[in-house]
Amino acid sequence: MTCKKELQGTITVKYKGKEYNLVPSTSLLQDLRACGIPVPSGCLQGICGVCKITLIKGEIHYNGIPLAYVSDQEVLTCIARARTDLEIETD
Amino acid sequence: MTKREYSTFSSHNDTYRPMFLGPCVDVARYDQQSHEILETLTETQLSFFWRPQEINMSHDRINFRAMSEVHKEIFVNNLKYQIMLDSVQGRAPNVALLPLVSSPELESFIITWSFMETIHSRSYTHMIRSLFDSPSEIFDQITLHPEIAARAASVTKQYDELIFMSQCYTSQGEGTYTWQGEELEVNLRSLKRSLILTLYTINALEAIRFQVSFVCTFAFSENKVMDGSSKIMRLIARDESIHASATTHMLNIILQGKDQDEEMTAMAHECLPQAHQIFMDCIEQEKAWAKYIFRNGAIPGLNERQLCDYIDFLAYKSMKQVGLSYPIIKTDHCLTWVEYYLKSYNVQVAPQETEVSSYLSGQVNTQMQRNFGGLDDL
Repeated sequence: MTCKKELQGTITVKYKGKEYNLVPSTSLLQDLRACGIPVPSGCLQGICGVCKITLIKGEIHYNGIPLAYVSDQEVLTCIARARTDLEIETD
Repeated sequence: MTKREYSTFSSHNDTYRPMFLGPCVDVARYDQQSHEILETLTETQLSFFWRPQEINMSHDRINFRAMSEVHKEIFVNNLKYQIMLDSVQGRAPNVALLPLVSSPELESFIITWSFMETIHSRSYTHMIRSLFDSPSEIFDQITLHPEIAARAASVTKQYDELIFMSQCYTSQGEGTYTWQGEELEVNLRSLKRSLILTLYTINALEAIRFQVSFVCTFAFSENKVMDGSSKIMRLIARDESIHASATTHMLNIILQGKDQDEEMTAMAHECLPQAHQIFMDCIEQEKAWAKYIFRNGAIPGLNERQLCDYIDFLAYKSMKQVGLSYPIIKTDHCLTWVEYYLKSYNVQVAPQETEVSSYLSGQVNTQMQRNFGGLDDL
């Protein structure tokens, strides 16, 4: 499933048995929503933790300091960007 | 008899300081931190500093007068509940937690936290003054309101127990004491138990109770009324998310044994059933409150059922973060419009923003000369 026409520089996100190709934009939250993956959001600054997902495989980096509590496998999507292909789970 | 006498400056050379019930505080230094996140959260709180006078409430007064009696009652009851919550939070963390704190970064966080809560209380006074000709009447009614009084008792009971136990332990030492007609065994273990349950009570307050009240205010703004109140509430909501995050971090540091206090960690795991009950009681009370405030009618876009669904959503998310599970799995955000009000970058208040009028006081001369001939006439 491709959510953007431009495939150069895309990454693949595995979610619930499906694969989504996306071009990383300013935040993983925005990218996942563009693919139709439902992720709720709140402060968009990594404080409230509402946008957390579980990262099964892959690497991300943060644009800001994650202030909400996250366990080792969790990611605050509002301030994260994908670095590699990802496999994720949501609540 | 074992006791822990509080000292405002007890010199020792420990580089690692547990958050609570270690050595008493000494040098307020932030070059080394046992838990860096607490210092980061303090810095973030300070960077968010704001004052309610920055928000223009003149349109709210006009809106409020034009509202139906049902909506006026919902707005005011919700505001009274918020006033009660912040009255507690403006003092209780200082009184209950500070005497037990050992790390300077946590001490600084708690002082800043309570200070910000007093800003929130000042905001409510600013709002009430703007809306009512006799603001004192509204404040006088708060403690007489049975539904609010019941919630106040629930919010403060755990704080009061901890304060009592802490005072007994620091002044008299271990022993059996009578509190509110019940015998309380006071020792280091029971003090740690009470502290952990207090942290869970605060977490439920910050992560659920406050958030429920915020959406009620935002719902008015969504209907294009009470925008000034909504702007203030967005700033308060931003602060409260920091406070909820801090107690979540504290509880996880303890639960995961990252504070070099094995007894505290074991106690936190023992307390999980009681902590679960604290959250369940809070959720039940908030749903009862939703039923009460909407008993005569709803706000377009927010009714009792939607608010209860939102409470389930908040409960599922927040309980999961502190080692608890909520039986109702509610993962979809049923009030998606709330996201707009919670976006932190939407609440920045720079002096040049239009709603900021305080900095212009007395600076603009509105007198115009009919025969103004140019700069030479000045």
